Amino acid sequence: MTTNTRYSYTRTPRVIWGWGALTLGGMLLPLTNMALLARGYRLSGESIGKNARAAALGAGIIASPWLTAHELGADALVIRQGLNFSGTIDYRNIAAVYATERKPTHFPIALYRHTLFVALWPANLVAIRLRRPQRFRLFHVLPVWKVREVVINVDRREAFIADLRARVAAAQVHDV
Amino acid sequence: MNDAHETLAPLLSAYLDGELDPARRRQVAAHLATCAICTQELARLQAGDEALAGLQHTPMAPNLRPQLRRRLRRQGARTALTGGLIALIVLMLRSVARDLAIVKRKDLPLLGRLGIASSYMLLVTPGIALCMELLRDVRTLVEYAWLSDETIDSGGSHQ
Repeated sequence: MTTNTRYSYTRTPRVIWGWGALTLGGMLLPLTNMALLARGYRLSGESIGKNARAAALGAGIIASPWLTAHELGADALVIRQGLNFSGTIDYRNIAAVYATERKPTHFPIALYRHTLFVALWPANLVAIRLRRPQRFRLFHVLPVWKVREVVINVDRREAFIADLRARVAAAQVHDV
Repeated sequence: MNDAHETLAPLLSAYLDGELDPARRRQVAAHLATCAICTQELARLQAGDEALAGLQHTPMAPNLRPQLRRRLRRQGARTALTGGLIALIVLMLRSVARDLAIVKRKDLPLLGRLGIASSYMLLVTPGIALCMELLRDVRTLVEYAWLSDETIDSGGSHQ
């Protein structure tokens, strides 16, 4: 019986510094504005409601990825990124797993014609090539076109690749 | 004679295609009767025309039209995306300018001004780091393409 293993993607120093700074900045700005407005200062073009919405959006998109991790389950890989993304790839649908240095043009999610990047930062990227194109949902609800490859970032890249390859091989041998 | 040759020789192609006015056409015809070089040149042009006329009509590849349409659609989508990004950047810059004006306001508490200024520092620094990282990759790719004739494998190293 195989155990579930979680692989975090937010502990790499580059991710901590880069995404951490974005998270702090993204949350601090609306919260500071809200505090100033609540104390009676007038700021042109700013309102408590508008900044509350910005803070909520920041918490959803920027802060929530800190709370989740990817997971290698019994039959499938579960890719998670806070409220932004959650997707499952059956091991039998994985054709290849390899380290890659290709980078998306934007973060934390970038969708191209054949490739979906679910990467907080361009560090420790792993590409997962699929046997059959698969459809995923962005923000848990928004379906997008089918992709042939998913690229994610993980902290322990080599361990993740070795573990995933072993599970994929076991699942495919079991199928035969 | 030489002057007439130099003036009329460049008109041979137009003469052959019937593009000259009647007076010019008569001049060229009269010159052809006396100039062996132009007669030969006209014969060569005629042979070229005949060879072109003999070419078989090649039908258009069946998937060319949908491919072209797809490419145009993609280009349109890219243009729209670029326009959208530019609009977003303009809006962000407006917002940044407004917030920087807030930082300069002396009537606000120092803590609030510091909060806004440090938020921008925190937001801008990783953004610059990210841009530098992406630019470095683009430069590496360009250098690689420049130095090597091989096609750049966009898939990385397969294992």
